[in-house]
This record gives sequence, structure tokens and C-alpha cells, in this order.
Amino acid sequence: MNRLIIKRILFYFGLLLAIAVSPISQAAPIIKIEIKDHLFYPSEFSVPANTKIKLLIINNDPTPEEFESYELNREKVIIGNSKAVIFIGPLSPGTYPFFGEFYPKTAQGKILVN
Amino acid sequence: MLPNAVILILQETLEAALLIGVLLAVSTRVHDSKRWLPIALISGGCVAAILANQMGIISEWFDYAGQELLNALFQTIICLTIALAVWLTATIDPLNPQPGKVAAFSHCAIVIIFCAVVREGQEIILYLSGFMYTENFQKVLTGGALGFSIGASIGILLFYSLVDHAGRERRAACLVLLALFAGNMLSQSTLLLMQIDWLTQSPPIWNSSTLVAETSIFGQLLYALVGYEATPSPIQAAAYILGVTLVTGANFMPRYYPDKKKQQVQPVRGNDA
Repeated sequence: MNRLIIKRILFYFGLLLAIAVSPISQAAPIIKIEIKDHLFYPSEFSVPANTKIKLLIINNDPTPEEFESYELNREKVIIGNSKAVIFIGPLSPGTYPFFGEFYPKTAQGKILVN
Repeated sequence: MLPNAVILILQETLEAALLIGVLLAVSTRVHDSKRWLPIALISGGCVAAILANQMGIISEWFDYAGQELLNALFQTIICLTIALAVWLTATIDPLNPQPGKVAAFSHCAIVIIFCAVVREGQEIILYLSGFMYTENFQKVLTGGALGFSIGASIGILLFYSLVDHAGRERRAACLVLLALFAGNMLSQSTLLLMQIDWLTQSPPIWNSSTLVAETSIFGQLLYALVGYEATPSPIQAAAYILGVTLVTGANFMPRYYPDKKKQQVQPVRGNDA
């Protein structure tokens, strides 16, 4: 009886996971951000609301940087002279600041969703 | 540069320090030797250095999803091992601890702290490496040492405040904290999977950023202690509940499914008395 319940729980958990993972195929628009001298280029840009976006971040500095945003719930270390990919959204309209955690005084930016 | 180094290293240290504080309090109850702590810290530090060195290659795995997948794996391992450790402590008799179970608890503690140190350690190493050949390196090291000391002090404070309480209260407090840690880990792992588009992002179920901002000191402490998120998604919340349920379930399972060997031995001990 108990085994049956556990099997059922595992089945529904697997089903939920499959549903959550399934919509990967949709291609997301790509936004390129470059890091140079601990600054983001562009530091401000607009994206459409309710759309998944692929951020391609290229770190041109020799030192690592961490892309971080509390509003977007994102954080990722980008090694010096390398690139990284971060998916954001779908987002509701508003302003979403982001910063470089290793050099927060200079590396600042914001995404305008409209 | 100094304040940023203090904050960054404190953020990275706090989570592991709190986890060590709770596990040390649990290990005191089961009369463990605590040798797991130096083993986990040293091995975790070494592996963190290796991973930080190879992070460029790791990040490119699975179409630039390697970093997130590795960290999500560590977080899931932490969650599951916390559940196993809690189940073991629930079956250990503090007055007559079985050496086999105490050793198994030690192994769990090694795995948990090893994964926590690897996860946070690689980021600290990468941060410090960026300043290695600059004039600011001394300042950053000083700030880092200060941040590390504050984080470690909070962990020690937690340990002593837990140990200070009587058996039942301490056990309950440790269980609550470990359950929240496990929930936090599983929740964070889903966030990483959303970041690489392996899980679908959905609108947050609430927004408490005006009440407690994640950037505030209280918000940071809540994040380290209970995994506070101002704007959690439904999947994150579900993962959090799953982690908490796993650990609380592991704690109460021995009550409903008692050890058969123990049951067979008990009547004999009763007759002797």
C-alpha cells in the first residue's frame, strides 16, 4: 500500500518536472552585453514584456566578474576573457537593475521592460 | 574596495558558517568526534581551488550551462544528505550511540560541508584572483579576512546558542534550521535551472521587496538562514516545501517505521531490568 503511494507520488513529481522542462524549444531573442574596464556596454536597454530573453554576456576584462540582479533573481560568475549565457523573463513591465558584484561601484546597469 | 570585499566574503561565508554551527550542535548530541569538520574544510577548499581554476571550461559545458548545473548538483546533494543526516540522528540513542550510525552521520556531515565549501569557496577564490596582481590586493585581502571573521563568528554564536539549550529544545531548533537549509538549497537549485532555461520561469507568487529588501542586512541574513527571496516563483516555492518536507519526514519516519533490530532487542533489555 505504502509502496503504491510512493510510486504514485514519484510518478506525479516526474510528470510535473517533465511539464516544467518541456517548453525549451522556443527560441529567445538574444541581447549582447559586453564588460570592458568593469563597465557594462550597453548599461541600459529595453526588452519587450512577457518575453523570454537570452543574455549573452562577453567579459573583455582579464579579471572575473559576477553578473548579479536581485530583481531578476540571477547571478553568474563570468571568467575573464570569456562569455556566458543567462536566460531572463518572461518579465512584467518595469525597471530591473543589475550589477557586477566584483566591481559594484562601476559595473551598473538596468533593463527596461515595456 | 574594502567594504565590498567585507560584504562579498561575508555573504559567501555566512551560509557555510551557519550550516557548520548547526551540524556541530547536532554532532554534540550524538557524541561525534567532530573530525569531519577539518576533513570537509580542507578537501572542500582544495576542490574549490581546482574548480575555480577550471571554471572557464566548466562554464562552457552543455551550451554554457555547466556552472549552473554543477552548483545545482551540489545544492541537491546538500539537501538530500541533510535529510539522511537528520534520519540518522533521529535513530541514534544519545545515551547509547551506535558507533556505526555515528560514523554514518560523520560521513553525511563531511559531504554537506564539503559541498557547501566547494560552492562558496570557488567564488571567493575567483573574486580574490581578480585582484591578485593589483595594488588593491592587500586591501581586498584585509576586507576578505574581516568578512570571513564576521561570518565565522555568527556561525560560532549560533553553535553556542544551540548547545546552550536543553536536549529537546536544541533538537527541535536544529531540525527547523536544517529543514529550512534543505528547502533553501533545493529552491536555489531550481533558480539556477531557470537561469539556463532548463526550467520555465513563471511570474513570482509574491513581492515582499518593499517589506524586506534582499539587499538589506536583515534580508541577507534571512537569505543565509532561511533562503529568503523577495520574489519567489511557484517552482521555487514548491522546491522549498519539498526540501523542508523531506527533512521533517526523515526526522519523524523512525517513529512510524522503527528499527526492527532495535525492536527485537528491547524486550530482552526490559526483562533484564
